Amino acid sequence: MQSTEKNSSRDLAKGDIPTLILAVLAQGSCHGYAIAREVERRSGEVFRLREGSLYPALRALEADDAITGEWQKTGNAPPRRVYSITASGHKELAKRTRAWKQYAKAVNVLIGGKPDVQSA
Amino acid sequence: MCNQLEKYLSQIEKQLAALPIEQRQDELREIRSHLEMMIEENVASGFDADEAVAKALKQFGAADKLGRDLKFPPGSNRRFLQKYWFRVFRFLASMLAASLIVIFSIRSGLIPYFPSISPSLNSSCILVVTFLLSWTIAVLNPSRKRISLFDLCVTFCCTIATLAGIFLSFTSFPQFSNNMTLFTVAAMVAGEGMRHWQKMWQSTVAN
Repeated sequence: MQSTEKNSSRDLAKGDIPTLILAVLAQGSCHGYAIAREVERRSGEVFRLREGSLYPALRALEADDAITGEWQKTGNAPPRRVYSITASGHKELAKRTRAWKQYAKAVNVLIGGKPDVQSA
Repeated sequence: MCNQLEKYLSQIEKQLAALPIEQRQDELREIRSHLEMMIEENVASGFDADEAVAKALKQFGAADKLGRDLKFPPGSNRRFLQKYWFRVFRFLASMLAASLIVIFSIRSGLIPYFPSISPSLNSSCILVVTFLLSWTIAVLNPSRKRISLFDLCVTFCCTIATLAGIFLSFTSFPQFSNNMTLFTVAAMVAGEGMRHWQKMWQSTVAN
């Protein structure tokens, strides 16, 4: 039972993907591949970000002016589209973070955890 | 290996056919670049070439779905409505209001209406009056980036008038209801045309 929990990775819910993308980009600009790997790395390989969901989410964030994408060439590597978060994206991230903390707090209370675990 | 990848990309391309060619090429270039990195990573982890491609494509998901989602990213409808709802609403309200005024003008005898004499004369009169009314509405209610109190008042009045007009035209004056289609089309063309002319005139004056 314990080993199953330890090795399990879960696909992210579509609604959470933009928040995680914004959180990754808030730490610095990167391309799509790096965003996907960073989400997995930071979640300790618990979350698996499917690329089929990543790019539509990036397009939606671009359309909302939360991020911008620009083709960049580094050294001998082929050009890659690098995404950066905008001022409006930072605001959106703050809003989503607050909403997520409230949600997590409520779930935590329901399942019997500490209610103030997220605000600590 | 290449065949699988090319087939996958061409499936996505089919779904993106409606996008401008530059945007479509950008999408495909980005996905190809991402897939190539995944394949390299899989090969480095010990998979053979075919397995590495298959694993990468599986993780990307179905090509058709990805193409559709790229064409209409989440929230497309919401963004469209946020951007255009007021323009659509105001346009519909103004053209229906113009139609209503024409109906009442015919009823009160301000516009000649001779059903038994000349249908083309009747249609011409209606078109001219509708055109003038639409022009008036366009001038009084120019397109603005921000919604002003004036815009809201005009829209509110037009909507009330329109609802009353629709009700009355189909209850009190059923003989005129056949002309509603004509009024609507004429008002639509005239109103939009006048808005464009007005914008051009405003920009000429501003420069």
